[in-house]
Amino acid sequence: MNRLATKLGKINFNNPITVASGTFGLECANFYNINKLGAIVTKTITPEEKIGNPTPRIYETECGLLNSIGLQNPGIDEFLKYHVKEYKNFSAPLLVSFSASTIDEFAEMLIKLEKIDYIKGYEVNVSCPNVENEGLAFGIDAKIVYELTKRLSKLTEKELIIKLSPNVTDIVSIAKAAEEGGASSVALINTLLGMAIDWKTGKSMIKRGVAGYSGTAVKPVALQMVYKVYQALSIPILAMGGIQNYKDCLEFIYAGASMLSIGTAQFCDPCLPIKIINDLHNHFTQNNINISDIKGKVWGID
Amino acid sequence: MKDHIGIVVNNKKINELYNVISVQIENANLGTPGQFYELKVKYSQRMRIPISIYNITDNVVEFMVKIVGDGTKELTQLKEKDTIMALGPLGNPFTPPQADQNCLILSGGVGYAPFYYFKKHYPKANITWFHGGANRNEVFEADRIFTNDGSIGIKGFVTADLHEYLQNNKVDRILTCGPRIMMKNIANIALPFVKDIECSLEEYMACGIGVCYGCAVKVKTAKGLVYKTVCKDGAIFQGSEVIWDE
Repeated sequence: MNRLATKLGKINFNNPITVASGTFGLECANFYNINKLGAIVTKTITPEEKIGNPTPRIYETECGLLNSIGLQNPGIDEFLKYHVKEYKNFSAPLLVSFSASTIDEFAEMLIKLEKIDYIKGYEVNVSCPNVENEGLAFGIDAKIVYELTKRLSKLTEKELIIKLSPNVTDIVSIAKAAEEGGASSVALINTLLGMAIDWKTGKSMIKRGVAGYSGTAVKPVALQMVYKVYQALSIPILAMGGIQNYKDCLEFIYAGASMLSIGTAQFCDPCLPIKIINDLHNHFTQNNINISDIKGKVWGID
Repeated sequence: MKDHIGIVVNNKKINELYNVISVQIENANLGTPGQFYELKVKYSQRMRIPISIYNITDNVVEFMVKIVGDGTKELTQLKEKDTIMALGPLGNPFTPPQADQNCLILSGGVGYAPFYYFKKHYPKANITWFHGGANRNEVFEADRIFTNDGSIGIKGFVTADLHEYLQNNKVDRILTCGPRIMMKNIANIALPFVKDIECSLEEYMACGIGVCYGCAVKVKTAKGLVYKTVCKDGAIFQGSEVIWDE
């Protein structure tokens, strides 16, 4: 029996650990067998090439990392021509992250991606904080998320994950809109908004000023959002935000996560996803439980 | 490239700003001049810090560390037998010097580090080395030294007499590492004389392996302006390709 087996809306996974979009590349194969991951999530692809944001783009601040990469990527045509085939021979399911500026563009991208049979699902990025009008404008408006998801869900039978922004008043209403539009699962959270200033000179540490904030500090924020969304939705959750170890994963599973992404913590330890898989396996074995035994079963709340 | 578990065998304080940390690392001799490791004190929750190879002897890699913040301070406080995670060697080395080439090294502050090993690694190379720093704590042995405060050597930046030097001497290659503004000025002054200017760049870095695009540097290519990564595409870039005013 595989105690780590889990499922999103449509795909079964050998284990619940994957990698957050933008924090993983095939270079990670230098450190571990990528097929041991529950799934592979690509860096976000956009309709056209993006050269990315001006530098400096990153800054380590208290308990976390600010990033303002700006979705640097070669664009979907280049991705389909040269890059996607590099993922072809992995047995871990491939989930492609993509983003665009209009519903039509999202739909056109999905139609192109649908031609690749070894892409098993999509993480639709409607929540990147680091690009003007790209994606994020969608992620903060429930009505648009509903329209977008409805359009995309008619175009694919594959896993359709809507990745949500935490930078909203009510993430539950956005998550519900994704569910009603036909998403098979939701992913949360993308980065929070953050900033850092050199106190000596007053200069912003990030060229664009405001950046995405990830790492240890965002975990409690992510956890309560996963908890609230789990209470309100019936589709599964791919959870992420500040996960450092298997104990963090267990917290997210208790809050309602079916699957988990490791992001920023990989920059401290590139082998971390595999260590977490092993630790989770040992924990489940020692306690004679499966993910489904504890999923969403947080208690002690009045 | 591997995430090595290193053992600190020595952590020598050179002055109030600088340490040389000697770390026993498996396959230490794989590193070449210009490459670096991403270091992390084991059990620290801090991100890794990219540090150039300063020297390699037997199975020990030496790192010259300048205290610039809490992370580098943490490194200088390591004790003998402490464990350190060392991801590397990373990045590309400086191009090996050819026998008939006159190489001019221009370093600033902790930018001294990679050239110590470069000079040792290529003992037959024709090398002239200018080094500059803010004050006497920032200068180390070189053919000509400069300090901003004039406390030792020539008063001024390392570029103070560069134009004149290039007019009067045959230089085939320049290799440089230091503050960005220093390398920008070197490129501006020297490009009319020397085409081949290898600059070792630094940026805030996260993954170290080319996946996150955090440590980006804007460069000219045949395709136009693009961002390359210091960690994987660099850290060595040609002075003529870097967009210095980014």
